[in-house]
Formats: sequence, structure tokens, C-alpha cells
Amino acid sequence: MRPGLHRPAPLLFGAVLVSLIVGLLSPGALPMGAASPQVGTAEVFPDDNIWNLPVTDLPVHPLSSTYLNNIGLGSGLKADFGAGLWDGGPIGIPYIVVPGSQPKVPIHYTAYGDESDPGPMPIPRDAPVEGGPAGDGDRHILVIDEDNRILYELYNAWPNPDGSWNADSGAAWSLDANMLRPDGWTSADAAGLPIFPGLARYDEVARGAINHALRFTIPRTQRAHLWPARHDASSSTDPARPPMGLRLRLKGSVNIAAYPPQARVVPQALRDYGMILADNGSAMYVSGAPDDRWDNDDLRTLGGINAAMFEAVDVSGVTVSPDSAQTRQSAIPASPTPGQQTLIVTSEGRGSVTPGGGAVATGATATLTATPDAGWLFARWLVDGRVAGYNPTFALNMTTGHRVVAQFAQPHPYPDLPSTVPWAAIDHLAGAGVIRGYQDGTFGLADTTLRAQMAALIARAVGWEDEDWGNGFSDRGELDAALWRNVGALAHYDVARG
Amino acid sequence: MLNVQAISFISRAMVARGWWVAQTDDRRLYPNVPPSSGARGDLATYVHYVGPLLGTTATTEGWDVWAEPVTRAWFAHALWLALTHPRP
Repeated sequence: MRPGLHRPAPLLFGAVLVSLIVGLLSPGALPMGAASPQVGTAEVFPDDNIWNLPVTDLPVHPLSSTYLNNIGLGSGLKADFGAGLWDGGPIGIPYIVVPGSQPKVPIHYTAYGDESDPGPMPIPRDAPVEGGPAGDGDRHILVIDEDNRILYELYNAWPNPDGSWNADSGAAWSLDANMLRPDGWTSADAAGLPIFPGLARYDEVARGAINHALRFTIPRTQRAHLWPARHDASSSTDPARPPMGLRLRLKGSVNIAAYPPQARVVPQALRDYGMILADNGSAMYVSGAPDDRWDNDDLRTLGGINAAMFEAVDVSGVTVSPDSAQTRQSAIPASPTPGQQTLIVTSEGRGSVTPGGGAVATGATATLTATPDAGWLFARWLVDGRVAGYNPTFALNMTTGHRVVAQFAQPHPYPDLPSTVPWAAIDHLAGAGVIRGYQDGTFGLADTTLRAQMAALIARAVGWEDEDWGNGFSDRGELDAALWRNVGALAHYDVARG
Repeated sequence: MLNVQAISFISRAMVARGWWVAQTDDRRLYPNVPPSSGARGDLATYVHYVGPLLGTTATTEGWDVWAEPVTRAWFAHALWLALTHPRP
């Protein structure tokens, strides 16, 4: 086990290394689109994951000024991480790297089990808890299984004497995949996103660059979220408030050359990759992992950067699918051979696709077969970002180039489904994010279905979930906005006729 | 929401998505489902691609539960069968 704090490396060596590396960097010298960040031996999500996307060239969001004014232009940046202790706990959100042999223990959810991934999870008994063992804050636990490349995160986690853990919510993420949680689901974070990829880590600074977006908080958010966020945590519908998932970028005009070595890597990352709004909290607090090698005085200088120096970024143009964290980083390249088209095939989750991508004769049919790894199931195909099929074998006419994603998922067991019955339909639809259970984690096997619920399931199944065609019906009542939007989509396509 | 209405929703969505082609009514299919249900064409479309409805063994027999409220489990199965039976 390798904790993310209290490293044994000599402090002097670390400080010298940082000085040397950072000193060699000139402003703007960071490689754009660098390889994925790493933890242990595992890459933290694919290169084209939204967390790993440089945003220097993306357009400014049309509501940028509104959002930043709402945050408060004078709000200074604060590194919510550092060395030593504060209030008895390490400063920041700790993590721990474990081997694949780490025993898995049960997780008992105490609040949002219906939106959480079931245990067991490989959480060591002595896993570091945000705020320390007696902390009373968010009490996040982040565990990376580096052999299986899975990230486990818990919120408000408390250990039990038998080795199991209680937690309000929890999520598991394949570090090899671009999967998002079902829209509307929380994770261990309010935005429904993973926490770990948004942390500033000392080892990254030691290497001279943070090649991913950072996580940040503000106190007043909106009851809405932007891709890639899947969840929000506010009762306010004030459109001036920033929504969860909002990405801010440090303006290129801000001079960061004068910042001390450790601190300078942070604004460089904020210029290149930006930061993603992921939780309610103090204004402009940027998240990182605790480490005794941080220089807290250095980090405090970041307070000279305020909200007025940022702009909100519009990432909608790089969305491949609202249900995926994959980004559209380039157009499908034309085949160099006349009469052929380019087929790009990638996977999300654990599984393989044969025969894979490559050049295919124009007009030919490419037949792909998806095979899930043990413990996983094939969920569905996305073609050019849109849901295209649910059978493991899929035929695609190659009149033009295509980008295909095979989505694999782990079954989400519902405790009220008898294990003696093969519930393949429910497993697969849940794996594809089409069906979701109740708040208490059950499926409600024999419960009847309302028209609006049915509309939502169908909209998710065929790829209309995020389409907004308005809604001409007059009986919305207390119906959730997303369901109402889905009803409107089905009416638009003449599926729901009132 | 009734079972037959669920089949209507699924069939129309599959057609609108371009995965199925709408079929015309066939009176031999589940003859106890009346035209007044407004769903016979959609029923024919569903059966054309998927085969007999869940809980029935042949399309020419009666569908006793067509007007009963649809359960979450039944709807999930009916939807899944549709999604895994696209147009050949």
C-alpha cells in the first residue's frame, strides 16, 4: 500500500528536484495533450477523457461573465491542500494505492445507496480519511487498485469494527474507461464526477506539470449541471449561479512567471486544463492531496489569483456523447487509401472488440463483436456519439468514416430481484444507464410504471435523453424536469400522443 | 399505463429511431385486443420483430393481460427484447 501522504522520499531531494524541473520550464512550455496522468502504474483515464483535455483553444462560455460575477470577481484562489495538519487532520483529500490482492470489504450505504456502486471494495482498515480519523467534514476516502486499474471513492465514510465501512455514497471507476454515471446520479462528489482525477498531487508537481483539470468548489451553485457533471446539489434555479461541471480556465494574459516553484505549476495547469466545479464549498478552493512536502507558504501565494482572471469555457463542442467522458479531440482522419474509410473503435469499461478499427472499403459492412471481461457485461454501442445498438455483434455500413465506442458495464445488483432468475434484461438496461432503481436501492419488480417513467426509459434507450423539444402537455404537476423533457421528446417523435 | 400502451410506446420509438419499420395490423394477431385500444398496428410491429409477447407462446392466441397495468419488470423485459431485435 502506498499512501498519498507521508512519502518516505527525502524532503531535500524532493525540493531540489522540484526546483530543477520547474526552473527549466518556461511559461507555456507544457506539452499540450500530454499522455494521461498516472498514479502508481495506472493511467488516470484515457488520453481523450474530459479530465485530460487541454482547453486552451476552446471557446468562452456565453455566460462566462455572469457566472464569474456571481462567484465574485475578487474571490481569491485557495489551495485546499498542503503539508502538516489543520484542525487535527491532513490538509486536502488523501488517497491510497493498493494492489489487486487487497481484500475487499462490504460497504454499507447510509444515504444514497440507490445512486451508489455496490461493494465490496478494497478499502483497507487504515485507509486515510479526509479530515483525519476523527474528522467531521466530507470524510472522503479514495482508493486506487493499481493492478485492476479501478478507482474507488466513498463519501462520509466511517469504519466498522468488522472491517466493513459505512458511507453515504460511493462509486467505482474503471481508470481505463470514459464512463460517466447515469445522469442524475451522485458519486462521492456532488457533481457525480470522480474526485481523484481533479486533485493536485505533489508527485505531479515534482515532475513539473499537472496534465489534467483540477477540482474546485464555490458556495452558491445552481440546480443544474453541465456535461460532464451528472448531478447537482442546490435548490436554486437562479441562472446566474454556476452549474456543477462548469469549467473555468485561467486567462492566458495572467502572468504566472513570478509565482514560486510549487505554486507556479498550479496556475499553469489552470491555464492549460482549467478546473471543474464539483462541489459546494468555499469560494475558489482548489482541491489537492495532502503531502508533507508541499510548501504551504508557496501555495498561499495563489491567493493573488482571483476569479476575475478566469473565464468559463464552453466544452460542448468536444462532447462525443453526453453519456461518456470521451472528448472529440479530432475529426475522423481520412483514409490515405482511395476507396477506403477510417473506422475508429474504442471501449469503455472492461471488454474487447474484434476485429477492431482500421481501414474499411467504402460501402463495405464492418461487423464488430464485443466480448466483456469476466464480471462485466456488454451494454451498448455508440456510433459517432449516438446510441446505435445493444447486440454484442454489430454491423456498420462504411459509406463514411465512423468512430465506434463499445460500452461495457458491471451488473448493478438489486436486492429485491431473486437470484434464481436470470435478469439479463434488467442487468443490461441498468448497465447501459437506461433503468435506475429506487432511492432504497431496490428495483420494484412488480410495481406499475407511470407514463413519464416509461418515457424516460425509452428516451435513454434510444438516445433522446438529452434532447429538449419543449413539452406541450399541460399536466406536469411535480414531475422532475428531466422526465418532463423526455416526455416532450417522445411527443416530438410522435411516440407519446397524450 | 397498460401493457398494450407500453408495447405502443416501444414500437413507435423503435420506428422513429429508424431501427424498425412500422407494420400494418393483422387481425390474426392477439385477436382479443380490440381496435379501440389504438395499438394494434404497433402490436403488429412489435411482434414482427420480436415474436410472441412475454407471457404468451403464440401470436394467434389471446393476450389476457393486454389491459392490465404494466409492471416495471415486464416493461424492462419488453424493452430489452425490442432493443436486441433490430431490423435485420
